[in-house]
Amino acid sequence: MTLFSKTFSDSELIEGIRGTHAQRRVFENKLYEKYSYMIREAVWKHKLSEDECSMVYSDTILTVLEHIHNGRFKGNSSIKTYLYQIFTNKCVDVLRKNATNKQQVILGDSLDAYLCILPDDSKGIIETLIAQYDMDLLTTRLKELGEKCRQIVQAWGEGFMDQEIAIEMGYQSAAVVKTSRLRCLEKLRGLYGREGKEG
Amino acid sequence: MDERIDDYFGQRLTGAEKAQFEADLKSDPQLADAVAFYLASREASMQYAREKKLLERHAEWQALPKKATNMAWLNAWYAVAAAVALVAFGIGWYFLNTPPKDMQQLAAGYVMENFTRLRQELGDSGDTLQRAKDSYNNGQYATALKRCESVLSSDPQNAEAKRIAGIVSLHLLDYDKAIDYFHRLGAQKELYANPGKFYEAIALIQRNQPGDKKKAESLLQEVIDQDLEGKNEAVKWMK
Repeated sequence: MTLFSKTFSDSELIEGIRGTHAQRRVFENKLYEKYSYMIREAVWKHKLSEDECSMVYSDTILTVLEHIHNGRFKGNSSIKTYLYQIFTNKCVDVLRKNATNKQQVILGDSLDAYLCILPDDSKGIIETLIAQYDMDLLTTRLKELGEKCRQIVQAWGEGFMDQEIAIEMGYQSAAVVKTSRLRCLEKLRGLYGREGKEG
Repeated sequence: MDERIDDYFGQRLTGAEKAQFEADLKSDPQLADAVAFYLASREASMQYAREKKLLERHAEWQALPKKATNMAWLNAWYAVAAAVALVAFGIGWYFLNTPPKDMQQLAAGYVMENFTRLRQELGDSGDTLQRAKDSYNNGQYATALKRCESVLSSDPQNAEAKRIAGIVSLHLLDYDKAIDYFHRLGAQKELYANPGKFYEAIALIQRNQPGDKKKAESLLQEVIDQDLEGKNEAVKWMK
């Protein structure tokens, strides 16, 4: 297809993605289109449905975009190679998820970092306890929190500091945010209830 | 919610408070459960935020025009060029009736088949490596790596720890680290079966920097010549 439409090089794509907001969107979409043939390949190779592969591919593009923005993509390999590796890994994660009866907590890098703060003798216990929580149910309960509570917990989950949340959401101070956030977590815990945990 | 939990993970407790919290955590199951809930909630809220963003972008990308519409741009010049290319390809295919080997795909296929789940084996030295494999199989890659590194800090010759650490690094796309682990594994002569060189070749193929392919081919040749683990694949890949 390169004969019929302009194909952007890696450096052009990266420059565009790091560019102004309007330009960024165009180049993000170009990146999506450029390697979208991987979806069909994955359907055949991993025996996943087209919908699953398509969603995994979108997830991959989003991850690559995040890595380009936060500098984690250092350009040691081509975007295609980088993207392909992430896509394959994410397909593996879906295969794993499909192989288990219930969605487990797949611990992300951020949670891993928190677990590493814990002393070794407690880490295993906490990991086991976390694994007993049903993430789907927890997410459902999160959606049931009031608008303010959901926003505050969501912002916290995204890694915003209390000070930033205070400014963004119009709270008086970071201390007020902290108190409200902990109250919201307590409320979430009540909503989740004991039935959410395995026996 | 115990405010100390938030302060502990925010690293705002004094040394004495931190020590007290960790002691309480060991003896108080309710506190341990509250900590687990705190961390699970954080993960859930992070996943929720990202999922929302993903659904929005996915819908946007699904609405993009499909590439086939680009055929409308076809003009006579391109048609001629395409026809010439097709003929040239046909002639090339006729004379070189072998498909071009794509080591990247072969390596990716091997990784997919063999590194999706790490098998638990009898005789895994101690709990830590077994737990490292569990962490990997549950998608907890940073934890898996830390566990391997802790084994290697006390036992630098532990081949299995290097193997797992390399595989985890490969999954995290940290190729330099993966190459280092596999290289150190491959250098161990005392092992009955050593996949180090073969795995190092895989990591090099996946890193794909200038010169990596040559280095990988040289390693694969060594694997074949010395009858090392991975020989069957190496023979196929080098054909």
